[in-house]
Amino acid sequence: MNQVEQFKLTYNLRFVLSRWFYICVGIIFIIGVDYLNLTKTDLHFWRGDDLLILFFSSAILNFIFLFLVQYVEFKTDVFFGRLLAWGQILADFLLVSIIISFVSSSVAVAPVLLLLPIIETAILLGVFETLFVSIFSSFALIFILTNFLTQMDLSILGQFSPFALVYLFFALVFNYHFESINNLNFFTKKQIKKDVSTTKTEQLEWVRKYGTKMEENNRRLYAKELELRIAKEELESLDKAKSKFISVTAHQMRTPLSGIKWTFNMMLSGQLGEINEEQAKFLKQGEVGVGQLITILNSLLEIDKIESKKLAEFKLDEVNIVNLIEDVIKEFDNQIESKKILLEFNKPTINLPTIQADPGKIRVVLENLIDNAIKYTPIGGRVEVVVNDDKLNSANQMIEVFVRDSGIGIPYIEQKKVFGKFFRASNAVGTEPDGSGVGLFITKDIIENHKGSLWFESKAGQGTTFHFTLPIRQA
Amino acid sequence: MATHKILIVEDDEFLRSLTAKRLEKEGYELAIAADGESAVSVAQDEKPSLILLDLLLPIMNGFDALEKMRQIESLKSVPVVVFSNLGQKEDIERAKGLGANDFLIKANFTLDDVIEKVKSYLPL
Repeated sequence: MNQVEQFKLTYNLRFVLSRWFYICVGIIFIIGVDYLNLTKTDLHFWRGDDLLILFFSSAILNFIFLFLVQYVEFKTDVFFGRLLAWGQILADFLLVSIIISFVSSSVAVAPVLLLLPIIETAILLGVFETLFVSIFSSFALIFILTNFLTQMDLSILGQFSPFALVYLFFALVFNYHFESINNLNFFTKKQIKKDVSTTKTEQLEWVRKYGTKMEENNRRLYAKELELRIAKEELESLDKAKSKFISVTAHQMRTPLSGIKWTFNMMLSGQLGEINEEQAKFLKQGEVGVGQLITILNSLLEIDKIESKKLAEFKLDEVNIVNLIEDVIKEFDNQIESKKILLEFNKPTINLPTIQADPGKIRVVLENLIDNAIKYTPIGGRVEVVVNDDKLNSANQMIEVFVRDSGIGIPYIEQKKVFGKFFRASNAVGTEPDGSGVGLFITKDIIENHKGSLWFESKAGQGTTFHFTLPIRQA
Repeated sequence: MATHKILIVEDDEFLRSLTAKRLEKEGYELAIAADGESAVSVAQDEKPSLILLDLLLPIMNGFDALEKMRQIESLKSVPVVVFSNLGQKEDIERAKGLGANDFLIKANFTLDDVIEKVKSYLPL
């Protein structure tokens, strides 16, 4: 039910309620006029019984209307609302006609009463209905005043015919004013026309139209999703094939390369017979070349491994960082022992909350950092892993972990390049030939994917400290 | 000095001949196997003091051969040094889990390193 219908319904109710008032006024009016007539002409039509019948029939009708208003509001039935309006107009018309028919001959103001149903029509219905009612009222007035066409008195007709014009005039004026209500209807209709139509068929059509459209879109979406899924699977299988190709090729190549490396090595060390200086020089170059090839292959394998790990999605879990570090440190038992390195783990005395992270990925980070620290720390050196809870009480709750070594350090001029792919410090190559330089690259990637940060301090010859922070919650 | 016998399990002829040459030079006695299955039987027959085991082998791979050897009473305590071009963390862990004493990646080491490793397992 739109605003206008709601408004009309409200007026329906008001007309019902106001009727109580003018029933009473009408009856008092009749009694008064009748009393005046009585004294003059000794003629009275009205007895108390008639008035009671009039009063009670009007009252019953009013109760019925009251019920109907509730019904229309409850059912939001526009058609019934109109029927109710017509009923009310008719009832008032009759009521007013009855009053006029008995008093009008002596009271000229009586025809004015017929304006009431006209106003009512203007409010409750449209312009045509109002015009209809006003013309009808004009005829009814003549009808009543001529005593149902039995007393064709020209003077009476002349006296009251202007009322016909007045009715028409009022019908137009009222309608002009109440038309604004229908404009409101028009306005709201226009506003929502694009989305909602008023009539049931239009609504149905609208629903059907959009229903088909949505169905079509759904189908398209589904097709797209399927397409994407297939593409993803294809990509994944391609990626797997690539990985397999790299891994197989690299391993195949490492076998003969190992042989060549060993041959150069044995020849150089004179195990396959004496060699002269020139031969040694070229053999040395050959050995370096093979070494480079092997390094390239190693990098290829490592990167492929990392890239395939990168493809794997992050699986967040609740991680107890202290337990995880203790776990990872155990993996390095052999390395520490063989290099006689002192590996210390300092954890806070309080129990730390678990952090939301991918345990597998964080393990890789810890392994990389600790592995680097051990690799680049000389025999008998010291490596320290510390969990710092200072930033636990800040606005962005996070845990800081750092790994400090007493190793060779990173030369100052190379410090900017540390997190690049394939970076290897100039002083690292001699110490630890078996490195590809992708460890820190992937470490930084993992930390940043966890919305944490990774940084370091280092002095060549004194050691390096790598720090990382991880937020407690990922959201 | 008691001569130790070393079993070389290696399918690549080039690498095998180089390794054999180098070990011979050090004065070790040698036994040779070119696949996993014969590695197990040769090991049982020859009773080597140490086994140099490749992992990618025909017929039966090195992991399975290692597992078999460790189930045989006489081979339970023989040191096994895996000498392979597999070298991913998982491979190393798997081999150690099956009872390998050491793991060397061929491309990253030289035969001198192998000799050093062998010596560390065999008392003079």
